[in-house]
Amino acid sequence: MSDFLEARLTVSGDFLGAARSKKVSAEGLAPNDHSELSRLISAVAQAGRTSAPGRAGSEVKQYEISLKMADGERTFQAPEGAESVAFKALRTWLEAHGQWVAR
Amino acid sequence: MCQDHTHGHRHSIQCIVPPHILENIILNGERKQKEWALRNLHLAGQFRGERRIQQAVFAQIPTGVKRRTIYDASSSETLPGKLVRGEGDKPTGDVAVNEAYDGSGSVYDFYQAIFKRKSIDDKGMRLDSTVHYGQKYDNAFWNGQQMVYGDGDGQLFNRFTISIDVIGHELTHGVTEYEASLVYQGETGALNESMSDVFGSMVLQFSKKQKATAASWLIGEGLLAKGVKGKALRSMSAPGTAYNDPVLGSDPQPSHMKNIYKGPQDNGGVHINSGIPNKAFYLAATTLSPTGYSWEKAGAIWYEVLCNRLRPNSGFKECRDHTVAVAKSMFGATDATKVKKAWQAVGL
Repeated sequence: MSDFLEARLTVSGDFLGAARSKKVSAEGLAPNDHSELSRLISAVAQAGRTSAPGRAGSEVKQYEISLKMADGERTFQAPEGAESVAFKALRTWLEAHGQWVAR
Repeated sequence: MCQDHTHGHRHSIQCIVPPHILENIILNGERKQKEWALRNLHLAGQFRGERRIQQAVFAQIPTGVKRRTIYDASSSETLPGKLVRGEGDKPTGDVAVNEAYDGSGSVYDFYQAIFKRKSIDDKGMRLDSTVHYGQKYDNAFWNGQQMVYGDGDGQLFNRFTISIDVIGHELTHGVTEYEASLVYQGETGALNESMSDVFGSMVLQFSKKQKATAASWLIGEGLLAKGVKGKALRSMSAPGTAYNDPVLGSDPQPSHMKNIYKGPQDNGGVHINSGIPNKAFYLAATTLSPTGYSWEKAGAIWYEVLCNRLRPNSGFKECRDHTVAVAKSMFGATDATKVKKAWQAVGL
């Protein structure tokens, strides 16, 4: 898989309703973080798409991870409660390390 | 039974009774034994929520009795978590626990006092809530069995128990599930969301003894963290004006059908398009009861429609038609016209 340039996590569907995003750019990322993020991205790419329904009930979050790679863009989506292990690991990492994107 | 060696009375933490014996006690013991056994199963994290066990415990409890149970997920995503406060227990040192307890009590009281409804299912269902769910979890939800509240990330959101209307919102999802069972997608999902805002707002007004024209009609006031540019998550009186923040963007709720959201996000805009029926309810409530309470007429009409008219796939137009018809049968033609005008104002 080619190098990533930018990763963006978008969340919608929760109590707020409106979508909001966090972003991580490869530029300026510490070497350790860069290699960890690359590993998480590769794992998501290998895991493929999740097709299971989300959890039951109200306010079900919808997660979308958009990856800008050197050879193009890829998008992965999963509803809350149906994330693959790899998807959840990447989503959690982006939540912890990403910066909110102004809308 | 188990002994607390410090104080010499029964204590559940040190209990080593295996779960199958506790379940037998729940099924066959006396009332106090049943409750003791259930508490131990919860504390040991071994309660499997089996319907026959639950029924055995609560069969002797008369309907119309408030039964609140608060759990602490301790930042995990495992439900229900550790039992931390039951009905009649003293407040704990945890503000989220106490808010969930008091808030679910207020919701119970509102439905009981105004609509003679006995809890979520109208059969005295126990009100279970879990607080401290997940890590910096910025959401609250009803999962079909219980309410769940996150602590918020502190950057955008405070804890979700902070607003009593949010608690009313979540519990009303339970009521909707037992009544109209509106599908949680697209326009039907937006109607589902609107019902939760409508009754959540009335719970807040009821707790404050506020008349319809004196209410803020805001949902989630106090929920936005310090520094976020906004007053709440939604405004029922002026959808689309609750916040305008660099990160959150501007409040996307439309107040008229001409601006209805048709995209895929938010399960087809369930929290976005709810602004349309929300505004219709606000207009109906304030014109039907200009000097009174929102639940006296508008609330009574919407409750009847939610419980006895709407179906799982009903949309805005069906809700409009039913509320107008129910207004006429409950309060007469003049009030039916006021409800009709409220819907017309939002393009329906």
